[in-house]
Amino acid sequence: MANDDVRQLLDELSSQLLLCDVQNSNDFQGIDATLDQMQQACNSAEWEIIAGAAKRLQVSHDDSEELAASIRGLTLACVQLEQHFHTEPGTIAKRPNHEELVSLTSQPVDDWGFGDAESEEEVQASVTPSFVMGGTGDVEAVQDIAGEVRSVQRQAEEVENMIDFYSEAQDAIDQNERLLLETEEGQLDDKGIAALFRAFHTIKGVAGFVGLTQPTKLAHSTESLLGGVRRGAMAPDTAIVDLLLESNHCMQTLVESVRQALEASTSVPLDERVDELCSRIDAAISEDATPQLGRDEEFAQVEAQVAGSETEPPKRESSTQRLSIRSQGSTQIRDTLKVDVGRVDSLVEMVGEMVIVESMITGDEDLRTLRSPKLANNLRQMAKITRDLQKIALQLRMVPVRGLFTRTARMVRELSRQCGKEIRFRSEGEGTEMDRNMVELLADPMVHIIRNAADHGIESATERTAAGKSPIGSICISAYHESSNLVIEITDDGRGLNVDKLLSRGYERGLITTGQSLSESEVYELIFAPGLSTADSLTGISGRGVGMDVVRKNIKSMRGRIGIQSKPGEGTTFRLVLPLTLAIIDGTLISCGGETYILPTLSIIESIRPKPDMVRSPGGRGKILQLRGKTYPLYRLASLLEIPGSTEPHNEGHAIIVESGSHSFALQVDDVVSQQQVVIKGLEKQLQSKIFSGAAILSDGQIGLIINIDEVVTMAGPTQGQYSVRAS
Amino acid sequence: MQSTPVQSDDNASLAQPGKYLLFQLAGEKYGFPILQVREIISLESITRVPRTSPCVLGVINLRGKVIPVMDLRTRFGLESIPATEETVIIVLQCELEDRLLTIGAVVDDVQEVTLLRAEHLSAPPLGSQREDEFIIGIGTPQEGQIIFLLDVDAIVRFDREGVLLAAGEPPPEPTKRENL
Repeated sequence: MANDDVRQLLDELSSQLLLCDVQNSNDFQGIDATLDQMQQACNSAEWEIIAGAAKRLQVSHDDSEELAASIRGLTLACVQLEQHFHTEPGTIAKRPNHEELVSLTSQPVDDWGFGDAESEEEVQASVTPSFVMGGTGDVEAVQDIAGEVRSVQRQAEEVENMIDFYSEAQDAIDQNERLLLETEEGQLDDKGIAALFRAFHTIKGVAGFVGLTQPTKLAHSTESLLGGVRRGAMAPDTAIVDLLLESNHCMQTLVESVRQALEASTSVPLDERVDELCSRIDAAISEDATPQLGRDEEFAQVEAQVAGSETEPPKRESSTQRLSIRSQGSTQIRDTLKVDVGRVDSLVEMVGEMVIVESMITGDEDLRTLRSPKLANNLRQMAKITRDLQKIALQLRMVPVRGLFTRTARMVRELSRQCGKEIRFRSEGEGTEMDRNMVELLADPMVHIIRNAADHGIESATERTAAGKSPIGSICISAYHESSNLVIEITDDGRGLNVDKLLSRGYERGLITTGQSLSESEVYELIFAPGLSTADSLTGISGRGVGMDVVRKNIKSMRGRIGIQSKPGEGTTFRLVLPLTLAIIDGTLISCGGETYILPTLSIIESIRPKPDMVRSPGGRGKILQLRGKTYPLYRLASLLEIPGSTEPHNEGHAIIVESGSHSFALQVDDVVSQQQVVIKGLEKQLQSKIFSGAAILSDGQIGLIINIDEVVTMAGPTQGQYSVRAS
Repeated sequence: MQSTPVQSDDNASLAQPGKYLLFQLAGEKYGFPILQVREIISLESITRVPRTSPCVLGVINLRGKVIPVMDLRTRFGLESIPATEETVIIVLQCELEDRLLTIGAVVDDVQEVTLLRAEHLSAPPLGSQREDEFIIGIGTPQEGQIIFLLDVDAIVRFDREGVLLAAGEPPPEPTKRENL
């Protein structure tokens, strides 16, 4: 069975669903016909899901509320499946799994949870319980009732979805415009058609889910037209390209009106030209379409019916589309500018350089001797502007964590249903900003931590009641800035980590040996070991022991830290400490063998001047440092770096206790120079002798190499483990 | 200009006619194609990078960019000498694995830029000496003058561990940059 056919059918079905009128039985005939074709087309698991949803669709013909829910569920399933089929051959298809789809088609209307990343727009939009109807008249009643029950929060969400729609559609339109204008000179090739198709498809999907009838309809017609061209049913001649351009312009107008409506807090007006344009596009399709495209014709019929119903005088609110945003005040969509990330990066880098040069100038001895108040004043002015400029440059890449939190909230809702546990989600500090690049890196760890919390952490309602806790579990995430770091805490009020179980699993896997005593936090560290899971059974959600390994890896790659606090019966807190940006780190400058190196301050626990009796050398090989009852392996940085000519030191110098994952150790250096923020420069791959993660230009223009703590542990190899940290 | 008077080898990138920057190394004259030379800078303080290839002297701050610097003598297996007043760094630029690589090469002395026409060029001699592997041609602009023309790409090709690859070895697989 060719994927292409299934995809087309799915597309068709989702369009029909999007445009169908709950009270028009003709529409359902069209849907049924498509479903029939689909049954012939695919006989696989996908069909079962669709069929299951479709059955519910038929059962619930009477109850419009429930019917609408089923329609949306089915539509979502279609979109997800289609996305799966849409993936070009050769690329890895992220296939929605069975459970996800089943849950999509069976859950209540306002509860669609966490979907695949690629279909996120749709899923996000789906939070609003709005569905699209062909006509604007008779179905308004149902929708208005739905609209009235909507809470204020819902409205806010809807507004946000609309804003998403606006920016998404705007992007797609711009892209189409470019593509089409380019092709006017040349020929519209398959790639271009595919790109246009995707763009209109995206608009259709998003518009459909936020409940905008006209853009949905227009996008659908255009998509059909493009589909015809793609199948070779018609040639992409100038007439078609003109039509596409016109459709794109019309879409632009529609999207613009959405923006105005949002800003003015009014309803989105209907544009009369849309229907006319749609029928022209449809005419173009039926003109050129070959008879074998029965499906399209069928659809054209449905379209005609829809169009017909629209000509009837609508009962009320005739000039408005179903979108009632009754939120307080107007929503301002700020103009945004899409800039190449590379440009922003180099701007940030150059500003970083300027800051260094600025401090070189202001600190210049010769200038100081001039004793000119005017010069001093100007220098101060320059210093201030430089500082401001740096701040602005860094802010360019900062985004609030809100998006990440919203995703998490959806996931908790979804998980709560999947696990059959009631879980309340709370979030704090959503406005806290972080580097845009880090949001991507954080998404996966969050998923794993939350899954673990929901699946293993939070007990079942009966267990909770028995333990004297509220039957409703809670997961809370909060974000805040602490010194120059971003802290994200994820807290559940579940059963806490089971220390005994962790120890026994760790032992089974040979991660620890008998007789080894570990501190509490070291035991917790075990959950990050690959393949280790305390779950007794695998669930669809977690238990494979893979996730937490990913968590640690991603956090590490951001030069962050992760800590765990847990109390049996009370819950677990994951604390992620991350740098605010990936471009700059807080560095501690140390000197060693006459050179200056930089240690990331985040990985430093403390720095001491060891007294001679604190350093021991058992068995003559390797040294250990004793500090407040704890022992740390002590490595000499000069030896690790093979710095020539450095002699064996007496116990002078500094010992810096650093932390890398579960290991803590002490690094012996000559001196701790200072702390400063440094702009990280990548080293040419040629030089990346692993031990250095990058370099920075110091305030005197010299280069400081940034030491990669994790690599130091690996390099120090043989003695590691022998003296691993023990609580005494 | 098609008339390279040398036998055509499949993938051998042979020296092309054009302008070359001439410099001196242990008494011999060498040339880099001028298109791959970005600038010439005086020898300033080089930050040593521990645990890299011996021919890598370290990194320098080239107007805010951190670029590696190698000792061409060591690279060619010649004895390295203390820097003199003539010692300079030639900053080279080449495209390696789809990335623009900027790297400095320390040489004894730079001399001039010379135009080498097709008739001045000849194929590199077959030899087993290390420096030969980087030589992609010989220029003789005048009677008695011999300039060894170098292949920048072969010189700057390093393997993943930061060790320089000998010429002729396959280029390293592109790897993702770690940590950054």
